[in-house]
Amino acid sequence: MPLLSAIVFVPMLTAVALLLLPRGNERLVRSVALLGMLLDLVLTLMAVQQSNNGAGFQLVERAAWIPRWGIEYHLGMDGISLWLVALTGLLGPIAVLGSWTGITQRVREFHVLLLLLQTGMQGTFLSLDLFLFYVFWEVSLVPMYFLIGIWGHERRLYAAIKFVLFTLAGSLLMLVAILSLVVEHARETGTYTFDLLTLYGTDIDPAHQIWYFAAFALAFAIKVPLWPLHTWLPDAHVEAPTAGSVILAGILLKMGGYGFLRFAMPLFPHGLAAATPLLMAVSVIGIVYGALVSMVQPDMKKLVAYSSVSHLGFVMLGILSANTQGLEGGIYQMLNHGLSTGALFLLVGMLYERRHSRAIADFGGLAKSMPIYAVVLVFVTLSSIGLPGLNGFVGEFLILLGAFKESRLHAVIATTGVVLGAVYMLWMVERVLFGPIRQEANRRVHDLSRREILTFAPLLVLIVVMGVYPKPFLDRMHGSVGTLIRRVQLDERLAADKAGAPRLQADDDVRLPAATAAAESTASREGAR
Amino acid sequence: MSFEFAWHPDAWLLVAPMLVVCGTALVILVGDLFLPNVRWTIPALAGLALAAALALARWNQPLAAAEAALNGALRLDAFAIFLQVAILACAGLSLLGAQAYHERAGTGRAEFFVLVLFATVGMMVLVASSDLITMFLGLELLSFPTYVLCGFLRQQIKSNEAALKYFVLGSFASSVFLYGIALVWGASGSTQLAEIAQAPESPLLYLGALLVATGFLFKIGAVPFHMWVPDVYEGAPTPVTMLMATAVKIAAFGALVRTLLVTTLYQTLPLGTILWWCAILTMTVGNMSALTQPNIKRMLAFSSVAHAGYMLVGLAAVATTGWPAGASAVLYYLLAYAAMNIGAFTVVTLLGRRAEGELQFDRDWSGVARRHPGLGVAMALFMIALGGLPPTAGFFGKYSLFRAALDAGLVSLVVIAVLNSLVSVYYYLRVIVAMYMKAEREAPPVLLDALAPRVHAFDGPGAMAAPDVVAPPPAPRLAEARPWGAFLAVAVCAVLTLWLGIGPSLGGLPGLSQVMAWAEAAVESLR
Repeated sequence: MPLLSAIVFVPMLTAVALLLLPRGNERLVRSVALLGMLLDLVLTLMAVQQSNNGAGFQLVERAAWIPRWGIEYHLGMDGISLWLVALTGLLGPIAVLGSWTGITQRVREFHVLLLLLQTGMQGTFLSLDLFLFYVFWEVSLVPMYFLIGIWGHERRLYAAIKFVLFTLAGSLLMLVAILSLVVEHARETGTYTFDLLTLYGTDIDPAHQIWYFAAFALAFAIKVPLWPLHTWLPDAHVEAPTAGSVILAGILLKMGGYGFLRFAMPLFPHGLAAATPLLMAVSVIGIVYGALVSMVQPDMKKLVAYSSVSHLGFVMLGILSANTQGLEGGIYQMLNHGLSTGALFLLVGMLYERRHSRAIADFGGLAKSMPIYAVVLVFVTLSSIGLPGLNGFVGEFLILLGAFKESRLHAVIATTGVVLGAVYMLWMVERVLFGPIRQEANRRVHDLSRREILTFAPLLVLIVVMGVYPKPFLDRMHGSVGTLIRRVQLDERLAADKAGAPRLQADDDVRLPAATAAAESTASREGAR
Repeated sequence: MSFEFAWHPDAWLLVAPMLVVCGTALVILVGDLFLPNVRWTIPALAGLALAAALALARWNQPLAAAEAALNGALRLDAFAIFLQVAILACAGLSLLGAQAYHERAGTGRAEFFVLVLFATVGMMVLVASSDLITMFLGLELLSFPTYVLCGFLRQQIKSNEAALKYFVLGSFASSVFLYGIALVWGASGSTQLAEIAQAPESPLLYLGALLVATGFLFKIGAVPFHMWVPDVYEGAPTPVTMLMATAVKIAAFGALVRTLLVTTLYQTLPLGTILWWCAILTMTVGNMSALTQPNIKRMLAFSSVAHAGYMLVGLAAVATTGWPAGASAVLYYLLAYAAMNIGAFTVVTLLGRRAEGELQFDRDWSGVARRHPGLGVAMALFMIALGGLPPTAGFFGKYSLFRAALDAGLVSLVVIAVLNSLVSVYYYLRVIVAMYMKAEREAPPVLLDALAPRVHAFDGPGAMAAPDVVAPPPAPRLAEARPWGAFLAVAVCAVLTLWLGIGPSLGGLPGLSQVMAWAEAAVESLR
């Protein structure tokens, strides 16, 4: 069975099935949608089970699509995409469960869009053809636009359009870069191809690489989002319905980080080398800025949104370190962020359903009336701030380790982000859960229902498992990360050997320490085991 | 040059598609005298289909002898067939989409069909002619019925304005075109495209060629010859706007591409630079103006200006480097553009208009998705496609245009085009926002809504606005509650919009790869 295609298209087929259901039975719609998402999750788990720790692409599927232009239907999975696909599969059913009672208008359309979004995201993570990737990348934009625009809160129109225009601005320039890259490749070899693996092996003029990288990086940096391109994020998050926020924070943002890992970095190592100082600086600014802004938010959802800016800054810092620890930490942290921030948005959404408020000031003392809710919130918060023993710690630790090898200054500043993270999250928890109950309505709030507990259960289990025993997760990505590192550096050496051009010299100076550091780090990592 | 015509038996095959459409028009014209209550949609569609079949039958079967016999005035090469079939399809879909309009506005008289069919013949001649004189003939044959169609709602001031404006400006453009032909003839001694290509260079030739190009650019609606577009598109009856925005554009672009490639004047003229600027201006002016339009017909008018600009990007690539990729991309884009625009205009037709004017976004489009869910989805699809997002024809069309331009090294032009499509997404999303995301302010206005019960349209307050008060429409005896034809047109366009965007070659179905191959074969046949 073409497993990866099934992962991508089962949600879409479910969406079509939803359209065929008889009118007026919302429960049936929700159940079918949930079933489709669960099936998708099972398929991703099968993919996890069928793949091994190898470094290459697995479960590859190839078919001709538009052969005259070298466009293929080419899917494949490696250790980098594997867990992101699994995360997408996991958050799908959770998004459906999380909007079981919250969405009462146009239920069918809502779930159709959610399922189409799932197809777009899975396709983005699995495409190995630049054209196919771009199609899925854009396809995931439209359903989210509708989710925010139709089911969002007061300023939803503004937020939805801002989301689309920001993302498109980046991705259209990326399209130009993709096309230019393919044309350049065709000029050298005489054949058009969008095949990522072929393009990996192309020698691209370093001067052009910088432009290509800039275009790709802009698209991905907007999606991540890196400071100062993050301004769409708080708006989109605050206005989106709960399921939208969960998917947005949990997965859509990861598409940015994934884009760096899969496309921008290995395709254009020279561009990466030139841009690393800038991007690392921006990541660190994002970490601190996001944390500081989170601290003063009166709105819970906005607080979590800004905390995403901070956390994704960590992710990018790790990725840009381009050594084993940094990269694995970055990928791991993407998963952690998906789990913990997804859970946080669900928690905020559940509170909003009950009290129609997200203002921190409206709460206080909820631990008395909602003990289970309080436990879950505290637990997730601890994961989010990186308490040792929970998943967040593993990711942040690896990232800081990787960053430290690359640049001590960045690592030190980033560490303050960890501290600030604890400050704003714990302070929020304190003000919401503890102290006296100030508002009468908060006394009568009912606690989590069984469905809601069920929604959280897998997230909580994973938070613990990934915190205590990260080895299987890291092992699966280790080989692919090694390939990525070689790609980022081997190209480097080859180009330097071949050209010996003076303009490459500067790049080499930047990269060489990292190369040695990575070699060391691999050794030390093996030793640590 | 010789003006002797020796009729060749094969010449019948050459002109058969055009003759069939012409004949259908004449039959309807005469038939209406005897059968006043017949609805002519089906006969007209049958004529168009027969013509398309006859044209397709000649695919890859050159009629060299017959063409020579006609002094090369007409050629039924793959290029002509490709565009003729596209034009016939557009005309057919427009007639289907117009069905809802006739129900409401009483425009379903025989003259409407006759004029549409004659205009179609003109377009078919235009794309098949390889001689400037025949081209002029086709241009005029398509223009005159269109002028009349624009003013078809003769009780409405806007419709009259549209007709007059289009007529005056169009005649002016035609005379410029004709003057260009005269200069070219003076310089080269021929009006045949292939012979012009051999002519020695001279300033007279350049000037003539530029004037000829101006005539086409006017019909296309390229800046700076776009002034007529918004007013005419708004004032004309929507089905006519649909025809002008799609079929006429296909014809004009087709003729322009043929002239450009066959005369090879771009090799000596700085046409690349001219088209480069023209493309930038057309895209930018079109998109910027579309941003602020309050009603959808004007918005779509400026959007069609912008899309002409995207296609000019492809032509600029042709003019810069010469052969095929840019031209075949333009042909593909014409198909994609036609599918999404006919769809969008048909939805506009179905939703109708207010007595005092076209529907306004903020007031009338809110809640459309709730009232007509199917149309809402289709319209959203067309808007997303026009904005150029995958997985739609709009994206793939733009992709092929931009790729051709990058192949020609026009990087900055592509970046500008891409930024333009970013701007355009904003106003296309406005339609979606209004349909899906704005609450309905009040009960929907009494629209001349094709989907509303007929009571609303003619007996309610809207009755005073029935456009033809003096000569009330003959009550169609086969009045339908639902304009199935228009629904069919929307559905066909929606499927095409998706299929031209992602369609793989499945079994016997031609995927987009196959369509692209046809477009390339069409361009190849010009060699």
